[in-house]
Amino acid sequence: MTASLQPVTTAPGSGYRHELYPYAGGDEFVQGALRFIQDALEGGEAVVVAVPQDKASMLRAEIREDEAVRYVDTSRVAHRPGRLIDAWQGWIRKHVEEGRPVRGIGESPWDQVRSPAEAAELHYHEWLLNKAFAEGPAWWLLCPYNVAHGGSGLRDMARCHPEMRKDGRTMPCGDYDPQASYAFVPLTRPCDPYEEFTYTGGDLPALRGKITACAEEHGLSGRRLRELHLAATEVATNSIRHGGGHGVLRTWSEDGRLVCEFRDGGYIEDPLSGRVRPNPRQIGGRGLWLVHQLADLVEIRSSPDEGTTVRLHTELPG
Amino acid sequence: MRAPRTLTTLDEVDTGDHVCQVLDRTEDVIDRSRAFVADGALHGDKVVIVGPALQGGSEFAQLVLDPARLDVSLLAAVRREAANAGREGFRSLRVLHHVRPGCPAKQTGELLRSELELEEFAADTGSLVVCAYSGAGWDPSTLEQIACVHPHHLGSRAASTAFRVYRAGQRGWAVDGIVDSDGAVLFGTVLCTLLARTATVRLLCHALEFFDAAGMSALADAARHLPDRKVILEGTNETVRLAWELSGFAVPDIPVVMAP
Repeated sequence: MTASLQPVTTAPGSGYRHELYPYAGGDEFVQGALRFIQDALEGGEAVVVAVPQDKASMLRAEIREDEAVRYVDTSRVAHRPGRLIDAWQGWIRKHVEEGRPVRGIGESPWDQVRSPAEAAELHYHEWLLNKAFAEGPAWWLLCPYNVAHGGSGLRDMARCHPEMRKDGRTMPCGDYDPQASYAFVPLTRPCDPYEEFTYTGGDLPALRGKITACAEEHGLSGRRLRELHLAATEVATNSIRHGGGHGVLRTWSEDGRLVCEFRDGGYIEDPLSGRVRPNPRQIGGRGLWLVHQLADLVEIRSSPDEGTTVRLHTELPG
Repeated sequence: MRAPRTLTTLDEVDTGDHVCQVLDRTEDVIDRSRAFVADGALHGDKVVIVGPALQGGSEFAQLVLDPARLDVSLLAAVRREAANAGREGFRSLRVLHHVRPGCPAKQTGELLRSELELEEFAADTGSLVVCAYSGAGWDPSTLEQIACVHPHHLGSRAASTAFRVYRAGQRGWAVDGIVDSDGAVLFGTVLCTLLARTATVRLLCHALEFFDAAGMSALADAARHLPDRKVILEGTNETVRLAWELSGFAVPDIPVVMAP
């Protein structure tokens, strides 16, 4: 990491601030988070805390929940990065509507991620937050990150945060380039053996049939299978309507998950597609939103040259 | 509840059926009518043939209702005939409707309205209605659209349809099959047609196999297409209800109720 540590002059409440807070150990986590909360309270700001349960307990022991400080339940979204932007929009909405400045503390359960794909998507989510809130309400999100995780994690996080907190001071993050496109981790190869099915208009029932056959082999049925059918249909419909009229489905299982991959020739220009809750009156634009809400994990890679690949991960029973 | 089914011959029809029959080019209207009249006599049914007046002296002349010459709507005319059949001691009314292509611009909407009225008529009165479409005179997509509001299909060229909407007694309308992006527009049109006739439409969805975002958008658009309307869906599974909420449609200005 090559962060150049210069003080940041942005005043609280004058735009979206997204700050990385690398810490070592529980004490440093509590110390940094508490200071952030206390600064907020002194300024009359509200704070939303969205951290794993064990971290929330440590903070609750120091500052209890009240009107100004709210600890939110992240269990429904913590492992589903595609749902987190909407979750944050919901968590801060009340304060924004009241016109009250708001801060957030958000930490993903990095030590409990279920797959490398989930970790990669959590990093991508951190990068997308800058785009999602660039035009939105002014608020300040602090993202604690335990340096003990090691590897490239801290560097990956630094690339997603315009600012970094060190020694109680906020500095610009040198690794963050607001103009750069996101450097995705390449998708893994499909696990053998995998099934392949080429689909076009009129093939949606057959596509669902292929998925059913594969899912039932792995004990997936009932509600979870219906949700996968719906998510898969939305992706395949996009292929047929916007991705050149056809696509290729591949299915396989890996590490206790069923993976359905869809490839087509289309291009998803807006990286926030499907991550923002649709307006009841908007026409269309619900397909990818439903996909993110129904699948356990969604990976999307799209470029004008190579088309679009969407992978839906569904956790298998048992 | 009436069970949808595909019939191989006219012998299998029963009272209360509303049958979509796609005729081959070789099938003769007079022959079809003659067989239909004979079956009616066999079962003690009063027979009515809806279609253009046949040439003078036709053996069916007194059985024919020509839509172009009716002083009331077709629905009112067959209702009157059904009432007469009861008074005259017949078991029920048996209607053979030779449907002719009309103005293409109005065709599908008018046909859907007419067929939904006949569907309700057949279900509510126990009359048998066979709608015969000459395959040569209709394009396949129109036939597919029309077929979706018939619970019973007849013939080697029976039109395939992803979903069907049909009368489920006084409880409302049953929907079965798949409503996805391929059929969403048609589903919306059927709903708008029903909502134009009644303020509250109750859809029984116990046999609805699949309902995607495009279908839900069509439902939402139809429900708010006219003021003071309401659509109640019964028998929806939890995935449909979840997707409806997630799609942002579960709001007061979209008058749709989703129930298990």
